[in-house]
Amino acid sequence: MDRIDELLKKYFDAETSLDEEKTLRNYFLSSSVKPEHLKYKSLFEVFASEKMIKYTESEIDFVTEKSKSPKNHRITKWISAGISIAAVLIIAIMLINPQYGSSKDYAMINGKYIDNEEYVMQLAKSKIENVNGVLSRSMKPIKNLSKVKNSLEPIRVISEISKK
Amino acid sequence: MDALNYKQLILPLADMLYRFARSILKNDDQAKDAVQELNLKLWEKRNYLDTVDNLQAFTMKSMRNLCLDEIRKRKNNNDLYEDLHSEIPGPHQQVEENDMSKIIKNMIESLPELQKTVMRLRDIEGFEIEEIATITGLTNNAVTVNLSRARQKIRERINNEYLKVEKNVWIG
Repeated sequence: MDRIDELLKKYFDAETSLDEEKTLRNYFLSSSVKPEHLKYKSLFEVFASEKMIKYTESEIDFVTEKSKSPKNHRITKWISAGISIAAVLIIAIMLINPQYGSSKDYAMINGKYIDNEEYVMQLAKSKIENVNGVLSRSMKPIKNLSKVKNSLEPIRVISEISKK
Repeated sequence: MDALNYKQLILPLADMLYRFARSILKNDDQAKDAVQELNLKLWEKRNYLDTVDNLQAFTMKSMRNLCLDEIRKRKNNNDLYEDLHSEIPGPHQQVEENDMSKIIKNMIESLPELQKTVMRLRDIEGFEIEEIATITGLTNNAVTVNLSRARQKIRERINNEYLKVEKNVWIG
């Protein structure tokens, strides 16, 4: 009987030592497996591939008094992801918009960046005056209405006296 | 046990503990949680670890107990969602899978729990019979019997699988 056949028989009877099992493993993971033994090759390949499975965290959290509760692992993961996304968005906005981080005051007028303070003040003043003008014109009908209301007051008083 | 020894002796066991937890809990996330939880407990008991003869066997036993407790809690809470949505494929998927490796993985998964545990501890993690006895709480003889039964069952299923293939080739 071939050495491998002998070891296989012992293996399935759970009588092999760890060294003998290592011999079997090396044989079945090699490229020189005999045809009559090929059916067991996948078994040893599965064992080898299972052994390759790793704990994928970069490093297990070294335990301190402040260790997080492992039950919240998944929740913590989501919160961390949310914070990361928010941080990336903020950085992206700052990079896209070069005005962020600038200590100068500025105004955006018709899509243009204006940092000339005097110009902006004058422009603002003229705009406010325009608004005042509009308001004054708009308020005229309301003022007229109150004149009308005042003129109608004697009629109201007479009406009340007649009822009595 | 000081922090340096803990880092050198316990932290490197994470891969093995994770694989073991994964095989029992059948869920990657829960297995990772189990590793973190065990790490926390072992750290709290680090002074006791100096008195342990075989740290690997001790940590694996602790992990097994932790995982079995978790499964008991699941059953008590009728957590059917977790059972139905296991990440690791069950035997019912065997029909769809033609790859021999996947078939063999399913064969191993479908073994009785104790046989599967003993087989994994020996054939994947390389523990001695005495160490497996410590981890599982079995006698050495019971470990050998379970290991032999597991391997023979797998051999029988592999032979049946090859007979099927040969029959199909012959009929084809």
